[in-house]
Amino acid sequence: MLRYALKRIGIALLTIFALTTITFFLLHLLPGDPFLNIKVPVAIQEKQMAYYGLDKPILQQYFIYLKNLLTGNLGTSLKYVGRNVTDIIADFFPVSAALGLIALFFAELIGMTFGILSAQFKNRWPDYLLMFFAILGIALPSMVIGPLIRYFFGVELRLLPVSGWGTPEQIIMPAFVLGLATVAANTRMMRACMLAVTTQDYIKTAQAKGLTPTQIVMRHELKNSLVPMLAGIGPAVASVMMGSFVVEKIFVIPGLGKHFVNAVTTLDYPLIMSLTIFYGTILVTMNLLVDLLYGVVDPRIRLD
Amino acid sequence: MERTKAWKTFPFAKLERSGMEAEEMVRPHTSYLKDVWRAFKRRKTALVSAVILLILVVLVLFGPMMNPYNYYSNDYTAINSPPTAQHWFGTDTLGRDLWTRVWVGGRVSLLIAILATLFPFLIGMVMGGISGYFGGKVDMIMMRCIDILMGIPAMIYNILLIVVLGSGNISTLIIAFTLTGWMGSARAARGMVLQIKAREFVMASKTLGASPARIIFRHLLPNTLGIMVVGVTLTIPMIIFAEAFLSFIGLGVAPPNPSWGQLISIAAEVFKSYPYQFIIPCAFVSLTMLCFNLLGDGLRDALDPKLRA
Amino acid sequence: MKRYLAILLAVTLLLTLTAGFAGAQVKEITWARSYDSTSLDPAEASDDNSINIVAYMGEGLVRLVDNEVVPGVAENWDVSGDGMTYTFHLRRSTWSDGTPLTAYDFEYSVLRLIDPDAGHAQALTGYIFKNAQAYVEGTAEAADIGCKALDEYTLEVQFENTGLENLYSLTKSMLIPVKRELAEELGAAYGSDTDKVLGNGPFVLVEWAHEDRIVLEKNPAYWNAGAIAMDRLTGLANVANDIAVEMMQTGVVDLCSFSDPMYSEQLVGEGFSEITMNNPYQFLHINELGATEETGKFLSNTNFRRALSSALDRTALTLSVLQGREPAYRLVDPSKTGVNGKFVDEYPLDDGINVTADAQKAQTYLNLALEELGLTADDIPVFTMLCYESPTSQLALQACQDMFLTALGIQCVIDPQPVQQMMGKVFSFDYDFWYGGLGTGQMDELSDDGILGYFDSSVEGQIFSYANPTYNELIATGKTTLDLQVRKDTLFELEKIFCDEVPTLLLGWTTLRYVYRSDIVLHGTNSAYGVDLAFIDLAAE
Repeated sequence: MLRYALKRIGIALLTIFALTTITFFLLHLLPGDPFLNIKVPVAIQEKQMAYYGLDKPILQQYFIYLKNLLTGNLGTSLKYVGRNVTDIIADFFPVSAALGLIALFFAELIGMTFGILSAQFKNRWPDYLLMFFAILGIALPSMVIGPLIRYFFGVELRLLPVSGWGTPEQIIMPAFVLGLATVAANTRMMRACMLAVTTQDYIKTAQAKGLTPTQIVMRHELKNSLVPMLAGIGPAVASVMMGSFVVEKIFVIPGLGKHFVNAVTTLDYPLIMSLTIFYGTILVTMNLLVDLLYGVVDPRIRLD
Repeated sequence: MERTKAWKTFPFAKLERSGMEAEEMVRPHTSYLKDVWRAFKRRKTALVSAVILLILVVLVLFGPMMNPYNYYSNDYTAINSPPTAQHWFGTDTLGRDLWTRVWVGGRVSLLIAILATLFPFLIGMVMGGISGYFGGKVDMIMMRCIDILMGIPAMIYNILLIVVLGSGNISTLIIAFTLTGWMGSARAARGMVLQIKAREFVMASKTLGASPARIIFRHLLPNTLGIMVVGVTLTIPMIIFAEAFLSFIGLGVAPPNPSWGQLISIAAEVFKSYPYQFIIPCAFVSLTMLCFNLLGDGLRDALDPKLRA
Repeated sequence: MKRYLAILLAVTLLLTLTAGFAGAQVKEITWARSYDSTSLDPAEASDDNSINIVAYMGEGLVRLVDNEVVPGVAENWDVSGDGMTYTFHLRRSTWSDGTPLTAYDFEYSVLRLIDPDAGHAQALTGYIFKNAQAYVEGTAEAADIGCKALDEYTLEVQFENTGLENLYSLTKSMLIPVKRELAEELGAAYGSDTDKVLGNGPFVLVEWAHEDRIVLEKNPAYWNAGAIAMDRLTGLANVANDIAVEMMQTGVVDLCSFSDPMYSEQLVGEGFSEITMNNPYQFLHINELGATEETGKFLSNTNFRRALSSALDRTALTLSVLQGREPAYRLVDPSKTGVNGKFVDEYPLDDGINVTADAQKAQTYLNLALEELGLTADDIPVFTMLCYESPTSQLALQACQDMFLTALGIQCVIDPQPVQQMMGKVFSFDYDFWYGGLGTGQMDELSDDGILGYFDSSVEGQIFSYANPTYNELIATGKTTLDLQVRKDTLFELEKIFCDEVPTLLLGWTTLRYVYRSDIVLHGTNSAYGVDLAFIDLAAE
């Protein structure tokens, strides 16, 4: 097991390196440059490019970037002039991660519970009710539900603060909206997985042995349903920690979400590279953990 | 003695059949697909959903012809008017008829809802199946490739695609979704295949000499279909709204061509002043969603060999 | 006994006084911004939300209040006859940390701004000084630059060109001084965080939580601290319009701005006050070179452009998609000043630009153009319309697209792009039409950041290729004259050429609506960045 884990860590590092390289070159394929601005004369734009070393040949830029990377220098942002990109990420990541993990935790818990209940009561009224809410939750995106909830609870009822970040009350609405789609999706997926497992022979054996339905669900059905669900959790955690663009915009939360989009459209090269490396590291780590978890949840799975 | 007596009075006559005739198949041969169709028909909700979807398709194709307006001409005398006898769904900020725009938009949205979810899912399933079955190096390389592709910021792909393939094209959009969407289903399929391949029937197949292709496509993947179908139906609304986002950066149908996602996101900002502009396309998206989900459920119940029992 | 009574009285008096102080309200407001500041370095700040914070924290030689230049760090100044040399006499003042502020600080700041090795985004502002550009290009020494400290409190400024604009240019935030020791210590990181900046203005930066809020507190060391009524200003970031409305309604925010009256009307109806200020004009720019040769042929033809202008129904545009704007019937909008009063009163021009569509005129101009080009209506190509990736821009272009189709039968394709890609296309002339806004200019349309300068073909590297020698001469006259009458006369001539030759399509005049709590009293505005929050006050209960 240990050897396998070490081998996987080595491969993970290689993967991140490949990701960095590919992103670097793809990025410089994008047309335009970060300093194009109608209010700034071309001569000054060129000086700006030279200052950041962007006028050098691309291969040379790549090796300079690698060298700096190894010494821990990821550069300063082009848009937020003079700020270290590592400081930018360190400022906003904790916010996104906190919101995302809280939302995801409750979403997974509630979603799986609803899914199990739905499967148990298949084709009876609890199933239909839960399915109805699930479908509504998936069909209506956060950009629609978010402002409605914000207006209703924030302005009409004055129960919760309209936006911002810092106090516990301010987490409630964004976490709810963020988690809603996941709850809905999880409900349906869990129900489908449970139903697929229920028809297996070993469940019949368990019933024949006289186990109560609760025991069957907890001991057998749950574990066997987890594998397809787990496949989605890895990327879900990674993407939710990076912040949701829409939710952070609707509730004015200083998270990382908008930087992923804006950094690319403004061609802020150092910021894009460090966001990619950061996200890639988290993604690879989560996938590694999930793969290891497969083996724990279902011992029949051999990864070799 | 009683038995012979009962036999004699029993109203059945003995059939004359030879050994060979006993082997004859009496019922017509039914294939996997025919079986699926039969099971599907039994699910009433799925049938109703299919019918509703068909009606939507008809409306989407012929709806715009039902009134004299087109989807792009501006009419400044009728800006933001609520539903009336002239404009059945009302008009938008530029005075364009919303009935026509909803149905023309529906063409785009339904098309990508189907194609932009099916292609990535099919590709993902195949890749995931191969990866899960062979394991080892094949699995490692493919999963790491997926990690890398997922790690690259999506905006970079999108902008590059616009540069390479040109904007305003629906095929560019479908390619964009396929490129970014196959990875999720690949991971899910791989997970399930890893689970299923340890089962006895797979071992039996292998022993009988089935080729890897046959095992993957005939045994492993069909068993994942139930859950994959649900996954497809879950992605559809995401695609519809992602299309709206992408159309703003130039990927997707060129304005003034509408799509449901675009209609909804533009109307979301003026929701408090003109709620009908938002509610109407939202209702159709939700209806489509509902139908696809119920359809998906019916398909899953029909496809899963165990559930049909 | 009397003694004890006296002491008791004194103590009671003291107590009530201190209680009075403790109970004294901290005067503060919170205002909402749609995006956060990016840098507080005067040499880098380019967006409005960075520029205004720099101006609250710092002060240059002079200040702009209600379009008038008033003394800042400079107490008074002497002007030479030709308007090219100013000698500023600085008052005794300090940085917010107490150290003295001298003329040498100004000299250093200008040198730093234009430093070619530093690549500052706003270096262009420094080129107003004599020999600044020459120094950057290597043909002059640093000592030749027209910004010299004669002694600690005397600064001699020599401008590269003469003109009425010179003094106005010195009010720009880019010329706010930077302390040498701190700038050299921090290098490129100057202005990126709370502890990385030092100012000399009415407020001090207390906290900058990026993408969240920025907090300024009154600077007691400011030379004019007596005129500053507010104790604290808090600016929130990333507040979109609909959220701003809700925050105003729940009392979280006290002041915000909107360009769309849909939002401001809601709040005004609930008892908030409103003031409007001018904003950059809205244009549909024309690329005379064309995205392709075919389109270029048409777009460089003046009659074709006149046809395009006649086809646009500006009133309909402002009623539908450009709500909150005024349809433009000439270039200069009615709020601008002339020599003694309003420009539009002194120089009437009622029909410079058509406010509604005139299909007949449009067709006539189109036929003229086709005749001149020797082509027929079938030869008209498809044009591309470039815009930024926002829904409003796309809607506006869809409206124009339909107008061109209805009046002229011209087909256009809309091309939305992310911002830097859009800029790339603009600079490489890869578009036919471009939806964008351009400044009205600090003083008027002749100012450096005003629209007219963009069409002066005698300047290198312009993003528009309109070329008209008479036009260029008029610009030169207007910019360099020291006579306000001459300047405004020239402006009028240029306006007439602009309306006649249609180098670009002006759609509407835009205004920004500031909505604020009714007990806030505004004093003074600043055309560079809107309402000046430094001098506001709260009405007594």
